[in-house]
Amino acid sequence: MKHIFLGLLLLCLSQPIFSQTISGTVSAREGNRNVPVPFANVYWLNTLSGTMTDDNGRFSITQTPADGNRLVVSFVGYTNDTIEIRPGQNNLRIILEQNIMLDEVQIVERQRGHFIDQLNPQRMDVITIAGLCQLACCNLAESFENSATVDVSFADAISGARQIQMLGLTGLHSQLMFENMPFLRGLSAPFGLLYIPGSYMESIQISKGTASVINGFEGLAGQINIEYRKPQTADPLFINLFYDNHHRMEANVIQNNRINDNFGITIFAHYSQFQREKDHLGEDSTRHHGDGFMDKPKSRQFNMAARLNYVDGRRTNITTLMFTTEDRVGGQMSNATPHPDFGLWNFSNRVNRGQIFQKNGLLLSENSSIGTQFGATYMDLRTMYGPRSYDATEFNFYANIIYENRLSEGQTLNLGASFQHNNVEESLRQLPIMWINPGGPDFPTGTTVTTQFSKTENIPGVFAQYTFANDRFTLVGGLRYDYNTLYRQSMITPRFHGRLSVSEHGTLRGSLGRAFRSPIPIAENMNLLASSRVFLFNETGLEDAWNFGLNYHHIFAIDEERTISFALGFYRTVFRNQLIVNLDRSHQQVHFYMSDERSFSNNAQLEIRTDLLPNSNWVLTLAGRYNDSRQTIDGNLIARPFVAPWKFLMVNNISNNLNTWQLDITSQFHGGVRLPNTNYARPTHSEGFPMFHAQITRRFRNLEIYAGVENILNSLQNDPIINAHDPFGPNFDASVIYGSLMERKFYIGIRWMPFGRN
Amino acid sequence: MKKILLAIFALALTSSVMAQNRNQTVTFFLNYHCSSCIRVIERNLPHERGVTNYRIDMPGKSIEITYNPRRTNPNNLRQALIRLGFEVRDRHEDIVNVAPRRCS
Repeated sequence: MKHIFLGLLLLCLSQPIFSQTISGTVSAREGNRNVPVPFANVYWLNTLSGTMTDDNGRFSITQTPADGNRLVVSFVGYTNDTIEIRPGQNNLRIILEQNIMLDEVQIVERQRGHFIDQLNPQRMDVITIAGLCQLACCNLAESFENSATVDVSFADAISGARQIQMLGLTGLHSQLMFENMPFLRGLSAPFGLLYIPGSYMESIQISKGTASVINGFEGLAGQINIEYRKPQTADPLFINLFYDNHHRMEANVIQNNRINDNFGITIFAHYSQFQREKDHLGEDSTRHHGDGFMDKPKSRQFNMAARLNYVDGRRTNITTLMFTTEDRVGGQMSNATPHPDFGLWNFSNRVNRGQIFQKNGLLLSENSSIGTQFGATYMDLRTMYGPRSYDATEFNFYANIIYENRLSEGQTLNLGASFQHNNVEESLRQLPIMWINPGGPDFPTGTTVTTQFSKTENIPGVFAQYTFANDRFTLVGGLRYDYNTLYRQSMITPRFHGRLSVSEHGTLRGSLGRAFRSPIPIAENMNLLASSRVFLFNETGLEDAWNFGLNYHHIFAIDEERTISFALGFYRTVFRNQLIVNLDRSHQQVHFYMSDERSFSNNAQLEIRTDLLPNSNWVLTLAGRYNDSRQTIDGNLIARPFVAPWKFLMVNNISNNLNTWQLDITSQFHGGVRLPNTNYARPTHSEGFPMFHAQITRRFRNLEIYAGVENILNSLQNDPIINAHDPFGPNFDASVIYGSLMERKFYIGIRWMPFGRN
Repeated sequence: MKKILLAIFALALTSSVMAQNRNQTVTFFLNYHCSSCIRVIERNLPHERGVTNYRIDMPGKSIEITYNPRRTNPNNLRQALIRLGFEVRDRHEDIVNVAPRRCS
């Protein structure tokens, strides 16, 4: 029972877009015979869709993507049965067991903030809406504080951009998905995480290792899939307001119209701003607080999304439109002393982005269905880092068509084809400063040096995937072939996933797969423009790597109402070809080049989660993680810079019986990292640091109030900028960030549902 | 700041524990349909005046509500469940033939 209701928001990742009818009979044992059970409830776990058996115990139920794959059969006097419907299963014969202890009360467990999906063949961590409400979670970048799997750090001391890491590799190697469609790629890499407001999201699913071939050839280290709130479950009107003591404010409004049983529209709007110039970090020449640079840029963001859902028995259409515009202004404080020739070292960044995603599913027959996915992004980025400016536009288009056929019970075949078009136009302009153009001609004052880059690639591909599943064992094998027209290179991507139930409570999972990636060097390393490093490019190519992973998850019952779970995982990534961003050859340069030299990343993680009080009133999570991530730089196999080998995490979630009061405390320890060549302006390795957050939530009928503190100890990297006093000089560097740049923050927010909760 | 928050929280916990001494319980039988019904209860029932705890038994089709008799009575609780769209019965056998709650 506990496991059945382990989460209230399970979303099916493995079978994302198909809709089909499953039928069967429900019977109960009486003596030696099975007698049909009429009027038993049959429903998909955690959904609105369900049915009842007829006089003969027969039922048929439609399975849409939103339904997940767990069917619950319930009838008074019998034990509830939850069945995982595997691809290919139909004509179910369900035999209910008589509930011998009728008066025993079974507790339906409260939604957990964070759990491990037990039935998926891929190891998956799920952060639910409850988890997102445990911290301020203003945007996607801030939503991983309770996750041991994903690390988030500041990219530089100027722009406020955040970077993620998974398995000891930068977030570029993880595939960010919006409802299983490729999402934050290309130009969205530097700031994209900040464009997903926390209130929009219903859940985040994190899976490590390579994913199914259906989703493409990318995603080496893992996948982060986000789901927005849906018309079926969203509140009629949701208003979120947020304010912190740094004077950042934010408003989110989500309006939901459920027009009829099949059709719904949800509108999302977000506005946030931070408009104060603040300079506490670093020291000036007189050793006073402040290095003359704003700690955080002034910013304004407006963000809108709309989604239209149509779902009936045969057909599913989901269309989502998104639009984001953001302005950031930072760099030197307006009262700093300007450089005689170049003025102030200013930072600005303006982004406009529009996106459309469409997902359609159609049931062809009882055993086959067809699904299509389309996505298109237009993005325009204008940014200036002191003497350099970088403008870029991106257009990309994605189409994926998937046919599914159930061959026989437990066996499914997927066939499909995909097409990607990516176009990026970039221009990098630089003021004629000697260190930027060493040995270059002498430019007259006022001119700039402009370098143009253009990249257009078309990537057609085909794939096939075979799934075999029974109660104890699942094996998924897939193969895809893609061709990149820019590099004129074929990509052959095999991927395998397996799941074995070792015992009733223990699950073993494995994965093996290859992945490719087509890099965009400047956009992906835009934070390095916050330094005087000269960008030196060599030819780029496709990155090519293998990933292997093994996981074991076990749940023990402490007593009737409490459990303890252990999850242990190992992953290894080996690169065959990689874009090296060499920060070590010189502290004044960055070299980009392809390398097939030795490069790998090993990752081990242990996560323990236990109930200290029954009824999930106090859940404790402990996690530890070790990375050994190395690459060959100029002949030496050395640790990747900015990758922390160690991370420890402790999360306490405490609530009262009715869940009207809740306290969440997050404690983290981030280990030290190897720093790149700074010509001894910084040590070669940084020190680790702790980080504590706490939040208290009070829930009323139509209102929730939350207040919290982030970075309670105020642990900060005190000297984030190297040579801050000479920003136009050759040794200036604001990209060597290994600690927190966020001062202790007190915040308060409300979530208001004026028309009640759904 | 942290201490204040902790104190408030401790107060909230202890007050709810102390209140339980004089509390009473009532059991209703409901026409549950699916887990969305559970969600509706979880999100609304805690905010009904006088409710101090509740346990849902979905296969048994029942809910056991603990309440403070000075602040509410079983009839108020019954009305609250009806407002959430449930049919409410006092006996197990009476709910068996009632159509499940409409969820969408």
